[in-house]
Amino acid sequence: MPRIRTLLLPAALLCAGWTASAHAQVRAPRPHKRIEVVSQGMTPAQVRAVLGEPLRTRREGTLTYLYYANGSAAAGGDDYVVVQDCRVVGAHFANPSRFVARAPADTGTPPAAECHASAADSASAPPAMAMRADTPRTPAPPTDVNPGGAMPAQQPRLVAEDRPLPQLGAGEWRSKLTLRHPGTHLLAVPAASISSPTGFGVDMGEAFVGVAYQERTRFTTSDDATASIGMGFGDRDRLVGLEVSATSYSTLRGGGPFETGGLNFKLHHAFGDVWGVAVGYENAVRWGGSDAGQSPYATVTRVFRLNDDSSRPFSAIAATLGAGAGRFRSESDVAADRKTVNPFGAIGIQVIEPLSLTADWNGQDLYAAASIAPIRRVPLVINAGVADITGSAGDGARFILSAGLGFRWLPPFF
Amino acid sequence: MMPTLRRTSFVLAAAAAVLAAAPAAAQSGNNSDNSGFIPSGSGAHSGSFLGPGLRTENEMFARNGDRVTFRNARTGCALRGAERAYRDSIAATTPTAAEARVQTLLGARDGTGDADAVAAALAHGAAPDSPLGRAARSLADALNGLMRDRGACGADRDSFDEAPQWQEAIRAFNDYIHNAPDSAFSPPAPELLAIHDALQSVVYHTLRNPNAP
Repeated sequence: MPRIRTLLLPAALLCAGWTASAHAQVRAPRPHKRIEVVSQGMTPAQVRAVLGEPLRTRREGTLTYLYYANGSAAAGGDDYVVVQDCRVVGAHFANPSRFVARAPADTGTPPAAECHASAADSASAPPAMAMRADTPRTPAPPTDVNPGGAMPAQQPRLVAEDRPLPQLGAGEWRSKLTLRHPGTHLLAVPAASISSPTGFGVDMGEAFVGVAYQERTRFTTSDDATASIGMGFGDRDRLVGLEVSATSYSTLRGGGPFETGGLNFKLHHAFGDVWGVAVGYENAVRWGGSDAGQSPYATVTRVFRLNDDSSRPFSAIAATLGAGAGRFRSESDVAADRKTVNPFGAIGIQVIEPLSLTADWNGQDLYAAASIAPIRRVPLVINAGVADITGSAGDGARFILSAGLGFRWLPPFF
Repeated sequence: MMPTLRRTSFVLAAAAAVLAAAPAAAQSGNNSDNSGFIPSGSGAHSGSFLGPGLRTENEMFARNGDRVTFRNARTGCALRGAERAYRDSIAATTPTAAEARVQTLLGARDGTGDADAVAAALAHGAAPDSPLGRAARSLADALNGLMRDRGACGADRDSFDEAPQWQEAIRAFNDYIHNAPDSAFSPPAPELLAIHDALQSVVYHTLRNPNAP
């Protein structure tokens, strides 16, 4: 009996072993899940080392696609890896075991042998994707590393190859690349006052000439004219500008131009193009016995912009207010030779860009005039109007006509 | 020659005769010589409506007090239209890496701009504190977000906040072009060409039709 048990035990063990072996042959051992990771910046050779030889390759422009079976008919299409300049720039994997990983850009130049998209390529012609040795490139990382079904050609974030540059010298490049700079031109604008000095003036590099005519002088029937020339110095925006001008009186009559005249000075400062303040002295120096008295004054001008587009009607109003002695006094003070100070003021309306209407009280006369700048790029301004329209300082209204031309006497960078 | 001289002499003599025959100056009453023209001048034609002195007008920019603005609202609107056209034109293209960097920095293409990368490319290896490095940095900073979509046009020029940045970008670009050493152009950085293409496109179309909507 014990002998029988001794024989049965090995038989049972054999049977169990056979059963296990047979079972093992029926159920294959469960494989470990294999993760295949393709990183940006990999070379095609490295991709092939991970995924194996591609089913096929395709070139489209600078891009090369390496296609791989994804093992799922439901997923449709094949997985693919996108290569540009010998570096992986993107991929599309439907196979859940495959992933594409972002990686820092590798700026190194891979060996040409690494750039073959397939073993067949490496055995044939020189690789089309081989980089130029003298132009190391950094593949731009795609923004969507797992496009999720969109065809790579539809991915706008993939980068194109740098365009070849023409062989030019530095001077030629400078000439070619200099940007069209918005030009600055002189602009003619009409006057904001006629007789009252404003708070604005010319500064360094700017100058003007002007002539004026009246059909009869005050209390006479004789006409007369003046001529002026002025220059600017200093910097009205940063500190102060100085306007110096010379006026010739009795220009049509008497001994001719500059027989009688005076020098005028004006210190002015501008606050942007809105405010201007000035102090001045007309006829500070006189010659020839002119009856145009010495006239110190202070004045301020404010420009109100009604529309930032000066080509629109009624785009601006300029108001000037000041006080002065000399010619700014009332007629009675002049007659009595009283040393008084009298206010003056002017208001001008820019009706249309080249035309303004002005009302001006210079302390003793009320002026009404129209001012026109007929040529937009030429700072020529013509004023026509009536002086003493109220008859408050003379014997009635007088027709006046004046014209001025501005210009630069220094280049603009001074 | 002689007939011309004779004719000129005759005209001068006639003019002198007329002047000599003219009556004496009529200076009576107070300030009779002040005939309306302002003796002290306030510019050639008294004070102008656009501010002090000789007036100039820039095709694109103006100043409103201390602020840089576009010349007017129409110019600003034309620039935004040109920006939009540029963005549309590049949307369907595949950029080079340099173009992508510049267009992203400009805000013309989606993404986060990298001013450091553009400045480094423009510096051509020069130190950041070198003149070229500073010019490159200045340009790159001026481009940051320059051409991003700012929406519809405003009604007045003050509503276009990008005007100072555009003026600075144009200035910085031309400064770079004129002041960079020759080595910076042998060859120029692809980023520089991309910047030129972008700025030139917008400036050209804006100035060609400044009243375009």
